[in-house]
Amino acid sequence: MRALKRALLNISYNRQVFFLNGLILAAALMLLGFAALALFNVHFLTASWEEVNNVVLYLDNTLEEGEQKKLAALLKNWPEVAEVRLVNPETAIKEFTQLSAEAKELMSGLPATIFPPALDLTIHNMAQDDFKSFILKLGSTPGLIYLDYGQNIYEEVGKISGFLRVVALVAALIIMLLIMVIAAFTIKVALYQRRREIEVEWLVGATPAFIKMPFLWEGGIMGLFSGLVAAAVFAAFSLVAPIGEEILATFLPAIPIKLFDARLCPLLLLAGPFLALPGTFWGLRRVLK
Amino acid sequence: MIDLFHVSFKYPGSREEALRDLTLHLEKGELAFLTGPSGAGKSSLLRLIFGAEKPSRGQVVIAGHNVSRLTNESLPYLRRNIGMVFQDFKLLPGRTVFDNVAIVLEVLGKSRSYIRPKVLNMLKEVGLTHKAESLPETLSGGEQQRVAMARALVGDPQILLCDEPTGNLDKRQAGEIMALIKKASIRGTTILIATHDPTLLSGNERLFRLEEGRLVAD
Repeated sequence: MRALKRALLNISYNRQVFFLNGLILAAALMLLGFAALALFNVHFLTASWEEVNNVVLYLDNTLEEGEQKKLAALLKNWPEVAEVRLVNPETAIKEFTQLSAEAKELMSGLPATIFPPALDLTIHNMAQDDFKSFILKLGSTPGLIYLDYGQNIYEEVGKISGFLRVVALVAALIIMLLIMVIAAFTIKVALYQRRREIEVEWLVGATPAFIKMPFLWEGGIMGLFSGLVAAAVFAAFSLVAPIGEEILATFLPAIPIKLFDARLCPLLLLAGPFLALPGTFWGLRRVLK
Repeated sequence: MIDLFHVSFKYPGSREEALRDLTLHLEKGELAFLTGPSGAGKSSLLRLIFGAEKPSRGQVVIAGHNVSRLTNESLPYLRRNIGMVFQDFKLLPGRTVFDNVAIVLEVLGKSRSYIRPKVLNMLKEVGLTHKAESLPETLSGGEQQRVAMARALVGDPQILLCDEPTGNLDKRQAGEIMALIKKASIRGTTILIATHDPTLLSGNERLFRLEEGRLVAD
């Protein structure tokens, strides 16, 4: 408690420096909040893009109708599969020609068995890894000639979302490092300002822990202060976020971007001290050596 | 209480030895003066005893602790047994006289209820009760000297080291400081005073004379 009192006393002596550094840290935390928001957006957007709920299994023409039905019944029992529809070549042609006049014209004169029989599967939502295993399992289906689940688009979207996630994560990590560096620098400045006090404490028998403790408290308090400021500013941002979202929606109607997420407020509040304290340790370790 | 065996000391980067083959012994409660011209090694000797420096050769044993073997973690515990009055006082400029003296007891982990009467009593002894809430920069040289003395004595140290403790004082103030030192000596504190001032010596104390880092008289 004595160290805390000394830390508070030191803060009151250097109020301006404390507030200035706290606000710089808060600004860095805000940047971290926006990086996290970008990460959330990427996650939500790509999660919906990557969602596959339809897989078509094109079967060998030589497969008897009875065998096709047996296969459909078998797949219906798989836990991943919600529904199975057997599409024979005639139904396929019928459905295709109903699409447009051009399609009808295109098919005229062609044999009725131009399309192979197919099984149209509706599947439950599942994680990416589970989906990959499911596709591998389907690959061993007897009589299968081709499997279609929009793999090209699926892989492209996967690549883009992976890249965006890496960019947002790298940005978040850089900002976190920046916050720790700012905290370390602030403590170094405080150590320099109070070098005479530290010297006297050391000369009268203070242990390194006694000297360090007020600085650690100071770092923690500054982190908490900056976290509070960042969380408060972010919460205030929720008032204007819907307007921004509406404007963005007029330019990018297909991409629903969120400009505010309430979960970020407590995260920022905690991130302040959690990032400032390691930075303070770092600053103290180097200087008191 | 203070034992030096064939101690030599050289500052890093210096070719000259500040202290050369020095041996001395001080018993508990003994009061001794260390004299000699400027640069003779008086302050260096005090710094060795205080643990601020380590000898290049020989052994420095203070209250049973070999200074050469002390780590940074154990050094503070030696210093808690030593009160030191520095030539430049080393007072904290932004802190009150009370806080400057109380810092020693805070370091020792004493409670606020113990610290307050103890510090006020010490300030009374050095005649600075009325300046308890003043800042050191508002005090005269003599008053600052007395604050430094109060800080050195408030923790009831086993050893008191003074580097020119009366350098900034007039004769009357110097006499008062010496009276305080003698009072501490009577309580059993081992005291070593480095000084240029021959008027401090009453003739009964032990006297060490240093010249060019060598002990030339005991």
